[in-house]
Amino acid sequence: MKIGLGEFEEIVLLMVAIHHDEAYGLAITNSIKEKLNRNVTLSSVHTALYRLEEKGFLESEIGGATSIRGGRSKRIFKITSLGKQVMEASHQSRNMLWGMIPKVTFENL
Amino acid sequence: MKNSPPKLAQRFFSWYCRNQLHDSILGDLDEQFYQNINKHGIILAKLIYWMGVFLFLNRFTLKRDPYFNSMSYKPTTMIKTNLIISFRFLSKNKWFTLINVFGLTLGFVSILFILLFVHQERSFDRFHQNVENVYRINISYKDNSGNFTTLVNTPPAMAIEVSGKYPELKKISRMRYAMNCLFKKGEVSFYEDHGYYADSLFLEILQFDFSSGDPETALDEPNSIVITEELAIKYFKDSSPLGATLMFNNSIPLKVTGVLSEIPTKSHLNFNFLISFQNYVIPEGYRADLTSQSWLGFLTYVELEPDADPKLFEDKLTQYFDDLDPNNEPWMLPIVQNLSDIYLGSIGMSDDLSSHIRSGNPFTSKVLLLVAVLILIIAGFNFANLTNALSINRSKSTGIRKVMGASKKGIITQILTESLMISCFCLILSFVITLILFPSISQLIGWEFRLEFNTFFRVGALLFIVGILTGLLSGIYPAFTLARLNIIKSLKEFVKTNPGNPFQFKNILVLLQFAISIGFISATIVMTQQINYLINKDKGFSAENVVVIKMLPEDISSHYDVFKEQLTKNTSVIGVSRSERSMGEPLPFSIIKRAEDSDEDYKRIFFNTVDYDYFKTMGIPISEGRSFSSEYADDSTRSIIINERAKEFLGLEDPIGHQLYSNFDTDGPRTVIGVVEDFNYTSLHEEIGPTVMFFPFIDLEYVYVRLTPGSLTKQIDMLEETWFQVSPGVPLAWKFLDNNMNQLYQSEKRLSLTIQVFSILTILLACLGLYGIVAFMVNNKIKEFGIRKVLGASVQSLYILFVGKYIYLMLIAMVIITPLTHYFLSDWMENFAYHIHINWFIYPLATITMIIISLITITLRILQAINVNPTRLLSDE
Repeated sequence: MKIGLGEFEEIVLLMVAIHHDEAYGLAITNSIKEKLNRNVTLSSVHTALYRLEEKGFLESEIGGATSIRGGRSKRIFKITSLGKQVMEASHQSRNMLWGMIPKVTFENL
Repeated sequence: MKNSPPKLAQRFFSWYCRNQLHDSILGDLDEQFYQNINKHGIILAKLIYWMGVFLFLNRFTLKRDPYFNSMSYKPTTMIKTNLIISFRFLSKNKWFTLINVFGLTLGFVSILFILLFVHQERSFDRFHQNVENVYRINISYKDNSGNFTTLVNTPPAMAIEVSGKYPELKKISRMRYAMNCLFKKGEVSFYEDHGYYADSLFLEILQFDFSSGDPETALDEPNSIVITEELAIKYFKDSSPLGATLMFNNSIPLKVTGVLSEIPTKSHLNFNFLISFQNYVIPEGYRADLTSQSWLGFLTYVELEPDADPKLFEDKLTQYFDDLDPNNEPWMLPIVQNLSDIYLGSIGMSDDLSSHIRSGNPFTSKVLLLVAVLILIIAGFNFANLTNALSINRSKSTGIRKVMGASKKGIITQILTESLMISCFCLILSFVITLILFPSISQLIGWEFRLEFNTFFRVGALLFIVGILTGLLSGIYPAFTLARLNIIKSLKEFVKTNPGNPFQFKNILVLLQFAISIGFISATIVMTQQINYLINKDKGFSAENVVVIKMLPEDISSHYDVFKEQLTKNTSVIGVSRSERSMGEPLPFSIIKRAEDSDEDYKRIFFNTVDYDYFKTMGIPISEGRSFSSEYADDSTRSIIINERAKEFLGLEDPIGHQLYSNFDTDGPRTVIGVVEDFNYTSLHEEIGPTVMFFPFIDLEYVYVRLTPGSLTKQIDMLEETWFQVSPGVPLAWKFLDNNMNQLYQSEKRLSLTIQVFSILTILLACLGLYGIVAFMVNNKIKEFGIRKVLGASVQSLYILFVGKYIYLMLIAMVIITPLTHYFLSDWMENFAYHIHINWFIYPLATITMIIISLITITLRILQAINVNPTRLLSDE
């Protein structure tokens, strides 16, 4: 299985983790728009979620329905342990790399 | 605009996304939509929604999940289930279904037949390609008393005079009826009377199908004849005898220049040969020739330019007739009638020559359409009533379906599916039955037409719509009643529809059915009475035992005297005479005035020319004076006989010896020698008119022989033998006068027969429906009967209790239908100058008949129920 994680996928994965029990497509889309000020469409978030699920980083179950949704249930996503490993690996590698940046690099910026 | 997500977009999404992602995505889209309304407004929100739906098109959403399908709404599944349930329900109630199918199919078949007939009537002459540009010119003329009479005939000079005169007139053609033609080919020799002399352009104006020959040149040359294939085979035993010769009236050889395929029965002109117009010779003794502008004895057809206005052309023709005689007030008004209007639009017009022009009565079509609607109502009511009655039986199952979550819509769909299923089945069945029965039934009713696929298809399509509507409408009432049912009530107890109210739905339907049936029965009685009256009425002469012999005038002239002499020697011959016009044919006009009147006082009076012994032979009593007699030399030129009406019309107090002038006489007046009592020379549709009778001055065509009652075949043999002795080689064509006279009422008989057939049908349908309802009621009331019997009710009282309601309904039905039927029948009677007086007693009589018929239908079923031992009825719980 391809373990690679795209930049957008990583953000979505992070968002799922942040939202915990309320991680469904629209909530994540809205958070990305608000917190990161990044314009994404609902469908691209959904597609990313499904792709992550396919890779085994996420799992989903049917959640609650509200009347504003036309009585349709939500699909709630959760991080799998594999997902958690991938996130940690990514986080660590970033941290490691951040640590390796020489101070002089940023001095003149 | 409602603030809800666009439906179409949702449907589009549901269409392409069929897997477990469907709900969550659509839910998210919806939720986002409502957020967007607040942020961006409704229009933008919708736009984003639509965009979203399209952007979601990807491999995740397009993946099909086989299990997902079974969970979602799919229209075919529901229809399938509905069909299965309907089928089970119908086969469980076989009897009702059978009655339903039988009744509805019967109804549909009748309607199909009627529609086919009406379609046929309305599509006359449409087979001509240029039908919209072809017109017939009729003339309406004013007689001295100011009345207008319309003839389909025109004067012979008109066609010649007007051709080339008006730019819109493309072609014009005259025709003259070829009354009595003797054709001979070798040994084969017959009289033919379905033919015309026609101008050469005729075949270009009315384009009949040619099987051989050229329509443009066929009638150009004199001595040409165009015949139909039927005649070709009759004389030449060859379907294409082009160039062959046919001997005409024993003197003129005619060359066959064209053969027509069979003339469609949808043509108002009914002929089987056409002779070129140049061969038309005016009979000797006629005081008119082809330059006449007033001899209304020809048919004229014109073809106008496609963009011409017929009204304008008519005005020009009116001007033409006005200019003929500018000093006098015009008395001839031309009427330009389109080819397609001729068949149904010629009521009240007469053909001076009574050639075989077909004309239809729009009244018949209207009556039949009304009948079709009534039958549809009856059959539809039966259907609705039975469906409704049955639906009460299924209230329990409906209750359960509701408990299980069936929606109102689902239940309505279910019941409508059922009634549609039956009506579709009946439709198919009725199409099949009609196709099978058409030949025999159309022969029975006397229709001349064949079933064309095209017609059947169009009429069938119409019936299909009607059938589907019937199915829907009959299903609607029970469907909505059941859908509205209270669940708990329908499960706990037997649902009753307010039995105390006599005006409940099903009773009203039964009432209307009774009313229609009673109307049909009374119409049948009255029409039969009227037709019997027409046939049996004293017409002023006696038609029994009279043989009419129709021959070429020349033949009669040369042989008549000997023939008469030979015949009168025979004891079984009472009288022999002849006349110009046969009994039953309309008479032509002459212009008559009294000797003392001025020239302005000429009056139009019917005339006939009759020979010696005419009144004796026909049994017409002479009230004053005497008949023509060979003892008076003057009689043949200077005498005239009038009827009672003419005496009155001319104002003659003491007519015998009075002098009358006529347009036939230039050399002095005629003396009235006798007055005869009025007799109906034509059908009883017409009033007897003032009539004068001349002694023949032209050759006559009809010989009448009155025989003694008795062995007619022997006497006919005698007649033939005498004829062949006198004129060997000339065929003899004879008819019985009474048969001939009865032919006049053919269309009335046909209408009456049709009404009879349909009244039997409606009674059958109404009884069927009644039986269904009663059988159903008996099933439901059987317990009630049991209880009543236990409490001491007698069989009679139970019977009356049950049946009384229907008799009551029947009486209301009578009250409703009587005025309508009476109005309709009086209207019909207006067609006849002589008619019976409708007896009011007929309506109660019809009602009693209907009561008896329906009691017979239901009594057996009721008695079965009533006679059952009550312990058996009550013990099943």
